[in-house]
Amino acid sequence: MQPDHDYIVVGSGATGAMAAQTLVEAGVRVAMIDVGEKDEVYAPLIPDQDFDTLRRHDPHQHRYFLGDDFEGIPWSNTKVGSQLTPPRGFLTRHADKFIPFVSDTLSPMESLACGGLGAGWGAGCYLYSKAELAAAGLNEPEMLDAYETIARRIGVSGARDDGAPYCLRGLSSFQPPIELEENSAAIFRSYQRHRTELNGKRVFVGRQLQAILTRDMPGRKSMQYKDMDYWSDRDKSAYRSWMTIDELKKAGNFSYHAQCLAVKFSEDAHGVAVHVLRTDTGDRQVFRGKKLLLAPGVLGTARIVIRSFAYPNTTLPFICNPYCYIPCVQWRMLGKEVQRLRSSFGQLVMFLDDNADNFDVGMAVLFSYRSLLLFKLIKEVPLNFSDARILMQYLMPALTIAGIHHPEKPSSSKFVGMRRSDRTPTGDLLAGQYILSEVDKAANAAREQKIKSALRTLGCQPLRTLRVPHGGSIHYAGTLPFDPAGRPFTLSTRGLLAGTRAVYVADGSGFRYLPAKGITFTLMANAHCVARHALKNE
Amino acid sequence: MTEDYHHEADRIALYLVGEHAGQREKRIYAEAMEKLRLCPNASETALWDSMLASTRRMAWADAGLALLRPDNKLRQKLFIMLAILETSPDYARYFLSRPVPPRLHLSLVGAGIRSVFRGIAGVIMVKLSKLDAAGS
Repeated sequence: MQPDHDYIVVGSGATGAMAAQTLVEAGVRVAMIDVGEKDEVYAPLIPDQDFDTLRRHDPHQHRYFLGDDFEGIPWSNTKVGSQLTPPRGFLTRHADKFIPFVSDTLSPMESLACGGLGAGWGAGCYLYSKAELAAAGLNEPEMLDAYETIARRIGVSGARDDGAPYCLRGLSSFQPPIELEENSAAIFRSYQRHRTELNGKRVFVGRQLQAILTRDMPGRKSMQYKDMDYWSDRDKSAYRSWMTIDELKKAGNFSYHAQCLAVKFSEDAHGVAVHVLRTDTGDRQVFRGKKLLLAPGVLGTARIVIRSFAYPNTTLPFICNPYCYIPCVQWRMLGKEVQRLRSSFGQLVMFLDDNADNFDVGMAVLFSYRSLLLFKLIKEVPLNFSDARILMQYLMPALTIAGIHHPEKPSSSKFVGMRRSDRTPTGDLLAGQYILSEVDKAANAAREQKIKSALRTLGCQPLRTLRVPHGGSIHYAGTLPFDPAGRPFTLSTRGLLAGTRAVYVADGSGFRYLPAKGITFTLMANAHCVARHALKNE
Repeated sequence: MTEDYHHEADRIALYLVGEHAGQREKRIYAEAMEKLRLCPNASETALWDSMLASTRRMAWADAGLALLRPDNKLRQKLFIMLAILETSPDYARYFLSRPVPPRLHLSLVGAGIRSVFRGIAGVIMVKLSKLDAAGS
């Protein structure tokens, strides 16, 4: 049967959106298959005002801050995603039903949303170093070119400072950085005073390169400092993948098919057939294209590939960054009032480059805390709520949260695989195991101690280390590692799935190594490269 | 039942911020209780009744539960009211930061001492109440 489309792209997240844009700009006919969950409840409720003004004046704020079902009052933190704000709750809607995952040791977050997990991205952008790109299996010249393309598309802002070698490299397409709020500014001033001492310990602090506008782009405003970034995308200052999808929908050679869960693919002489389960009716449907680009996320791709090859007992390697966060108190900020207009996003980033080679670098993103509401912090204090409220209200202007990511390599104790199940719409579910070796645990603990020591030097006293379940970093990769030898369940360096003629994987499944640095910007650049490779035979 | 919830909301607000709950906050608390269905067991109910009778005992029990049973349902009820108060413009001042003059920093030490006392009293109170393990 003749194909209906030139290309089928599965998934609308950071990678699917970028791959689709590259294809659409090349003029080929593209169909995107996506479940496409959206928030249609909370976004219209949020007035166009800053956090402080809303808190003092909006009588309806409990609806979007707490949620109509009070889902914004998390009591148990055992599930990754339980801390999502109600307006971001759609990110994980129906994931348990259609893409179930079971494990005692791993709690990944997956999304069926339009824009995927990119709709909740923290906006941090990092260009991998030469050594990191090589370890991940990515081609450096090609990636550097792709980084520029993505930066121009989505709009990024940053500064050429001590963090630049670790996140900016030679990137030329970026806007000036966002304004630092007072807490971060005080830390940065402290860093300038202790720079020589910290650099001697291989610690570097800089402004984060971020997918946030400081100058307007068509249809998007520069950062308005409303401190509502975890609740609303009204100004579109921070890039979200759904913005690209909305733009692509205006193109004549792009079609978006919602309520479609890609289950598996098959190939014949004419191209690729994608077998779809409709999430609204439960019906089955088939889409046909000349080529297929898989970008539903690493775990989504693993499900589709294992089903398609009918190897139910296969296990695939899996990597994700170990992650923890450390609330700290910056003493010099105690008793001060938090400024009204500011950004919610992490603004400073600390790199620990132990070996002075820009490889296996530890990373801590420094956040100030206000708009995620005080009650969530009060819960973590082992005091009665009344006294804890007084304490946290006093500490809040001085609170800095350091989110620490560790680099990650594959091992035989970290994997995923499919199991049959009669209770799921697809008749199966994905299972996984994630166990860190003692050597990895020791290396991570040593890295955390050095970061804590550096925080103390900067005047930030760490209070306690809070560990989220494995998978909490939401950086996943490595299930179909790049392998020039073309072994089963691997990808070529161009992203072609071994054993297929026209199935490409545009997400992070091929990455053989995960630097601690955030993955999203590199995922987007890689997706652009994969789409270009797929186009080469046109 | 709604009247009971309104009474609970009022007592908890009095304990948490020293003010009575407004009609809107009472209504939201009742709605939360209806939706979340937090049903204390027999031993928890006895402790809960004691807490509602006195804000001092509520503080002690909360402090004791924070140390011994931090995920207990009774504490969850207090936590829900805390979240409701934080997201109400009438109580925002109890949660938003405000400048604190250096001379008032000492008052926090006083609050710390009070908190320690509440913790000790609370541990005794919770131990005496003999909460079921299932109530955790």
